[in-house]
Amino acid sequence: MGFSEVKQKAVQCIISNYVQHETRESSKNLYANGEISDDEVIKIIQSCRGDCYEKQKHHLLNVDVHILKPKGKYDGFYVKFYFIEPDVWFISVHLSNYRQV
Amino acid sequence: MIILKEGDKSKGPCENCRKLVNTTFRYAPLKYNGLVIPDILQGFCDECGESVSIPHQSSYKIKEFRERINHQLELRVPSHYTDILIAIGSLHKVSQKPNFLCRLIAELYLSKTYLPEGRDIRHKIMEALEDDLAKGKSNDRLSCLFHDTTYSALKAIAEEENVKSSTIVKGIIVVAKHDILDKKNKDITKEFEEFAAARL
Repeated sequence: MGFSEVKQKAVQCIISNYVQHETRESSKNLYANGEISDDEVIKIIQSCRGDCYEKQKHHLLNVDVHILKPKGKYDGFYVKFYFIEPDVWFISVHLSNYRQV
Repeated sequence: MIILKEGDKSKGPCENCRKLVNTTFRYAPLKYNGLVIPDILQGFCDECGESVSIPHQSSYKIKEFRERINHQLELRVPSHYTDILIAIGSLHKVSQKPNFLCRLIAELYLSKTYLPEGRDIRHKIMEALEDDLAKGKSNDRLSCLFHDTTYSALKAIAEEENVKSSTIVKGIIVVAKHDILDKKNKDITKEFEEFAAARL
């Protein structure tokens, strides 16, 4: 799955509310605790280009974990998610290293 | 919008079983940063019973609960900080109670730290602490009650900046003085008045 498809799929899941959050990191997940809205997360995802994106394997499952480190307006956000049909699963949406530009 | 209910089934990665497991949704307390939030819908592992997931519909309830929990913060400030707070409150006909105004202004600025402009606001707060206005003997005492959401944001910033929570609040008061009293920033002033109206 290419990055464009990853973004499109994640946004579609959010719009349809096919969203789950991993319990283990939930207290650090600004999206799980309602600090950041659906719209904001969609904007963060859509703002990312290929150079803001990397992927790695999930530590338990054989699925790709998509990691977004946006630049520009959303610089400092760190978003980590994967898919288990039909849901997008968020591991983390948080702010990191505010002083990095 | 999909709404899950108790008894619905899903699957997810169980940290305890270390594999993909079937899960069943049910309402249970959620341990959250030292709080226990009652009745939060979660997906539990069918094999070991561990909580595996929180469906997104629960996020609204988590936020609502956290906004009902208050944490007290006491801080000592130079007397001119109290003057700044009362000046802002009086000029905008909001309140003349420094504790309330301190809470209001801190909540206003901290609520922005999760937004895109959040990083800039944090820079402004830290820079404000170098301001001449930030100096002075701390003679006055302020006591503020913050919602858990605000308090967590405050603690997170203080931790990252390696300063006390009260220091961040002091920085915010100086920033508010520049924004509201000096620059008469229309956007922030309007937000301040709306924020106050919602809380009075």
